[in-house]
Amino acid sequence: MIRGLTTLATALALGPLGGCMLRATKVLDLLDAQTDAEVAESCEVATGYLVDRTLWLNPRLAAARVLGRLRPATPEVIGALGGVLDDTTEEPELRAYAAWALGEQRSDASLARLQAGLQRPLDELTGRYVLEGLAKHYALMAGSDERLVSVVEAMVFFAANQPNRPPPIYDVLGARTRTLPVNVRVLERAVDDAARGASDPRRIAAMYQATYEALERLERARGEITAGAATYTVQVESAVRAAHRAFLLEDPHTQVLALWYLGRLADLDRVALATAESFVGAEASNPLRPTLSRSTALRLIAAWTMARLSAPAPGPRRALAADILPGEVERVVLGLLADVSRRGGDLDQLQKVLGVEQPR
Amino acid sequence: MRVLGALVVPTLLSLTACCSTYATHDCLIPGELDGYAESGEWERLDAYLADERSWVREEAALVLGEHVASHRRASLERVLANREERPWVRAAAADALGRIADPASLPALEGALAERGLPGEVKVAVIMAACRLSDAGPGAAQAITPLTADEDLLVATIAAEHLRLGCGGAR
Repeated sequence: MIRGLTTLATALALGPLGGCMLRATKVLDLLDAQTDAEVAESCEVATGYLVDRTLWLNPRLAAARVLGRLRPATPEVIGALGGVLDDTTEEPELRAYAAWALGEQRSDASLARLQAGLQRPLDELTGRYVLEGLAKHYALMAGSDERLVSVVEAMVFFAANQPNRPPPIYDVLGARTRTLPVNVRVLERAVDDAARGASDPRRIAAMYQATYEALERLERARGEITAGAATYTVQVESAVRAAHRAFLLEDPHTQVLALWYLGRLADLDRVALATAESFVGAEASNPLRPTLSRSTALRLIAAWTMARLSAPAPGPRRALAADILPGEVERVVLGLLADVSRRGGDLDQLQKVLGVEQPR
Repeated sequence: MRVLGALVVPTLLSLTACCSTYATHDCLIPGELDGYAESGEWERLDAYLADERSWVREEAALVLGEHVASHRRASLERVLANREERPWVRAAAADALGRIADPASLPALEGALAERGLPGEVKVAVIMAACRLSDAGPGAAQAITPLTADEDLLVATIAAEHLRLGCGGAR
């Protein structure tokens, strides 16, 4: 009896110390399944280990590795890996492994889980694996515009809510997935989302990021727009309208960004005309035009943008004349207008102001 | 006593079950292979390259690379060239060749890249290995340049990034 008890106590003590209750290497033996039936069985066992929170970390990491390498792509495995990825209480290393293993599955279901994962809090390493996993699914997403839009939407949400710059794979994936129409649709959806939940800073951040990416994409199409490609007329108008919708939600960062970027692109007549129409109107009658803003920063950007827009469109010139020139008292705004005036040489009204208010 | 027996037996079984039930070699624990390298037991490590457990073969290859076992280069090149081998073991062999960094391995790496249907995992390891070879010259860059158009976006990205960073001094 005593000998039996001693043996039991020794076994219980040594078991955990030796790590022999379940070693990672034992889990890795599952990799050597040969037949389909063996693979299925190995994956079932590995899935069990993966989700078993009573196990130590290493066997669970090994289980994720087995599932990534055997690539069963079954609903059970994808569900288990997705569950670990989504669970912010799991070890970051295990979530990163789950993201990698999901990437290896290369199926519609794993793509959907990775996409959803981007909209949850992720540490840097896991975020990188999720993006790499999406890259592995590129062939699946490339054939569907709708899917591209939802993937880019998730990527934008991720990038907007990261403390640091996203990893290089973000740009590479973006270069393949983003077209101007895709970016515009992503921006429209981000604006809708932000309008529904304006108190959620993550949604506002996503709208800002989507605005930046749509306008940056517009800038990269500068050559085609200048060359007069007909398809770009509609695309430019859609992009500017979407940026204006973002502007109207009154997030100050998005407002400054949209207005500044459109001012920067004002040398493109199509952009300038669409911006003037959306933001000011031909008669400068839009009651929400930026030249009426109470924010000095926004008025400053508005003055610069309107000055740049005023060559091809009458509305911005009228807005400057009506809203800013008669009553502007901020030296910084007036100084900027003076500078624009000197360079352009064609803004008579500004020249009159200069006579009163010399810039330093 | 019968109750105790029911407790003791499974516990003891769990102690023995920690090792593979079908391994030909003895029970390995992580770090053991590293010890063989440190004590210069290269033949033993070579034998583990042929172990029936793929994770052991993978670990053995990685250990040879970490210890820059240049005299085992031929064994590693054989593993890389073996189309029947599991992709992760081939990738580990490529990684080891990159760490050994002998430019004489370039043909082996090029040979792997010429293989139709080479798994992405192996391609990535070969790219990184080719760019680590010392004095590989433009050969390394030439070998990986076609991969910048690979259908696997991750492979294409890694190839492009390595070329951008001056793979083989080809900047």
